Amino acid sequence: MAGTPSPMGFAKVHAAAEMSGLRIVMDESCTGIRYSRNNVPEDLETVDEMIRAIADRYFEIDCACFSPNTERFDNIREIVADYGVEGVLHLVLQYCHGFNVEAGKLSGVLTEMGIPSLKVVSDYSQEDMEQIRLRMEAFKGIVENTREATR
Amino acid sequence: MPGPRGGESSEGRPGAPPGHPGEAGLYCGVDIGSRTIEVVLFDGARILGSGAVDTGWRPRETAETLLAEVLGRCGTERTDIRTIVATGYGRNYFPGADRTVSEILCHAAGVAFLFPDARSIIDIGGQDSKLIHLNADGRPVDFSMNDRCAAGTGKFIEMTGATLGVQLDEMHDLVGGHPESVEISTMCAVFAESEIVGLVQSGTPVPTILRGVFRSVAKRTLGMASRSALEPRLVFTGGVAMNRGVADAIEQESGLAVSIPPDPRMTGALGAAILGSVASR
Repeated sequence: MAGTPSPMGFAKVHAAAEMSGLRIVMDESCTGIRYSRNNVPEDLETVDEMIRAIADRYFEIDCACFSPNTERFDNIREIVADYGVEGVLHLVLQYCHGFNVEAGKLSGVLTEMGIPSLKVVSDYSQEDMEQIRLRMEAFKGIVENTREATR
Repeated sequence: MPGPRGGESSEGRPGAPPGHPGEAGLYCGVDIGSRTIEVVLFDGARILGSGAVDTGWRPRETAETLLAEVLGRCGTERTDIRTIVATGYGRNYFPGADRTVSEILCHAAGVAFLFPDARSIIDIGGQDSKLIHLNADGRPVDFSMNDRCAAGTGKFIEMTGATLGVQLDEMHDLVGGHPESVEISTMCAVFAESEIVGLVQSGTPVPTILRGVFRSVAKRTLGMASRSALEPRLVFTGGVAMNRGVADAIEQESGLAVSIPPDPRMTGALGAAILGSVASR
């Protein structure tokens, strides 16, 4: 899963994906690994060092609200390699538009790596659950086709 | 219904779904759409029979009746069928199905069978439109879908027909030999009704308005293509593919020739039957 965080336990798209037979192996969003990457070291001595350490973490954050944001593509390349990722879902919740815009470039990067991807734009309502499940089922077929084609 | 173009498949077997030899047996695909239901009987290599009917308000009963009718015409029994695969909007409302498969995968399989060199599919149904990209093996690798908005779907054309007092099957004759079109400025199919009434009152001829509506549908659908360009061969399916005016508009807007199957409503059910015939992994 890539893109917008899923706060307050919102897992509609994750649930739709797994109900359709996809298996989520990593989440690079802010409620996934972005939150816990580059943790601030806690064993520093002076206030000056500690503030500097906090600032250093901010410079590493690869949120789409920053531009250019090429570190995000490098981080995702690493995740794809480390976790055996075969497909990427770009989750875009409608308040978090930066990821919507960046999904275009990210798709290009993934296509070059031979990884299929699908963008899902949604909100907190339950009304589009069936539409999302339909896309998840189709995406599962596409991931399987790609896996077979590259065998 | 005619069989596939002969001889061109990656496996070298005429008519076999690309990449997979079809296991001989009787397979059935049922496509329960928002406006029509289709049934296709497939024997692993050829289409044996097919039928279509309006969905109405009791899709399950209507689908069962249609299936019985198609079985009867082919001289086969329900018990002869190895696998029934259901697809479409109402695929979860057909308890007789052994499997359900997303209509995106089914349309891809159906089109690849009929046109082994197909690389792009535009499917426009009653309430949705899809763009599907196929690779050289005829497998879907990317898709876009609009199922939340009437613009660019058969619904818009129906509404236009109702506003103008034109039947769907009259539209082709009306626009024939009349190339002029008008730009429909609104993106929304509901607001377009007011715009069309305004055009009628200002004296715009009905065929010109129809051409404008067809162009609007074509542009809306092609606008989903996002990052990857459409590659030939481009195949147009779905109920709206029976409308030659929309097909013309798609050709003009995309710059590509459009191929239309003999019965463009059938590709979903055909693909469902084909996927049922392929050995499951």
